[in-house]
Amino acid sequence: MTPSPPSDLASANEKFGPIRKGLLEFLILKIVDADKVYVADMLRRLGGTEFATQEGTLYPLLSRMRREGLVDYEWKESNEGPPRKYYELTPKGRRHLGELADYWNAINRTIEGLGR
Amino acid sequence: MRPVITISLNGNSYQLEQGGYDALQAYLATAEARLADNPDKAEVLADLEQAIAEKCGRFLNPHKNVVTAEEVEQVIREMGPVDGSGSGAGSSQADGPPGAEHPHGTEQPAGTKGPAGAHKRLYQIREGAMLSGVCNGLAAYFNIDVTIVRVIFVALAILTWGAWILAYIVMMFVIPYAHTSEQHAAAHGWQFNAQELIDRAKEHYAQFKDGAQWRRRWREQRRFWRFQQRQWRAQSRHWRQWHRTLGDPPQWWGPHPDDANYAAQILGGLLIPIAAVLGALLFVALVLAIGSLVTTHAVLGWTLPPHIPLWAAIVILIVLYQAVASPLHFAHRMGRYGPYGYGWLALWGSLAWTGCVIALVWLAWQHWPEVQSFLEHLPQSLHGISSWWRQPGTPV
Repeated sequence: MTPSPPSDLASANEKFGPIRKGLLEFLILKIVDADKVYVADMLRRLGGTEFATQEGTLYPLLSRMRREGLVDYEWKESNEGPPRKYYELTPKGRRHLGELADYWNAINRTIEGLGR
Repeated sequence: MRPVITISLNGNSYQLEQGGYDALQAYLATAEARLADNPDKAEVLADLEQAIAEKCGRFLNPHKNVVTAEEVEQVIREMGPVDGSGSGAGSSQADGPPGAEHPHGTEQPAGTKGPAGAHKRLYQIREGAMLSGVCNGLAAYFNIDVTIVRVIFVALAILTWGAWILAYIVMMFVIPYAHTSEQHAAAHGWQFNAQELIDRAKEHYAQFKDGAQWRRRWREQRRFWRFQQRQWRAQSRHWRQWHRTLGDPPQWWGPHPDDANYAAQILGGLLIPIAAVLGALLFVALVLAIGSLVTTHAVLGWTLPPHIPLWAAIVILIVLYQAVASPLHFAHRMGRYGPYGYGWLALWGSLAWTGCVIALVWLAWQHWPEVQSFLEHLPQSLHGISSWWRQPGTPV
């Protein structure tokens, strides 16, 4: 569930909504790059941050990323339920993550550098 | 007292209160509508169902086996609206749960669903097949009763003096089997969608009320999938190699991305008999060459030079045979273990191989006097080989 930020941040939260959504793919790539994870792990890791999201968003996003060859998954047995899909980066996904990270750093430098 | 409905989510049964059931139904219908353009719609919906099921499971314990309407609402809130674009970026699609009333638990008869988007394909369907599933698949494809197809096949076999049986055998090798639910749906030209999935799951649920039994089935199924996946991967590696050497793969059924796989399956089916015939030819040639070496010390007019011993010439022949035959065997194996890794098909391959060897030997014996005399002298030759074997180095 989306955390409700303090009221003074509410308007900023709303303004950056599209940006947060746009960054989701980048963040998923980062999470998957660090570790083989399944969807509940991703939600847990994003939960409590500004990027908290839900299954309804994540599953379609992952299906598109898989179609684009950025991530792949494998089924793994789990102790407490049916098998789960564990996601991992493909070589293409890793390259894409590198590009996105570079771009994101450039944006940060621009923001830092402006208005000094 | 509130009415309770039992549903099956991704293969597990859950009891929901009526209100919760309606909410869930609406949620899944909306999700389905939003994912209409997504090629992985069925998979995403299965994932969503799985997630819902896990969330529902949280509310259940040995003393509480019904998920209340409020709890279902909470689960749906946690799931969040399904993002149809899959872009993660601002998507504001209109809410529109289409057709809330579905004919529950009734299988849609083939052909009644709109043809738009339904990818119809010819497959062999093994369920309820008499021999291999060719007639069954054709019946599904043309949406007619399988008995009619069988009668037509038998009539054709009689009218063509049995030649149609050959055509049937060719179809057995060439037409791929429908393994997955998608392929079964494609064989009938059904839309493969979530409602159908749920309906079918509901039907199946009746057969798998016992959880342990279901889990076993699931495990078996998964083992099969994994096995299949490995084979597919091996085959696609082959494909890429072929691709490099042969240029573009044939595209017989339009530009749908599945077609490469479908074509690969068909090619695999074609390779079996071709590789079997070529392999048999080669083997017969090897046997004839060895025979002629042993009896006349010459192969195809090439006389064995005196300084090369007979055994070395035979070894060279066998190495040559291996060099020529190994790519064939490779192709044979690829065709055999590619899309259909089944024992009975391997049996077919070896039967075809044996049949070809026998037919070729018989033909050669009929039309080739040297072969005839060779075969007639075979007992003596064999005796010659065995005595030569006992005293190596001595020419026979």
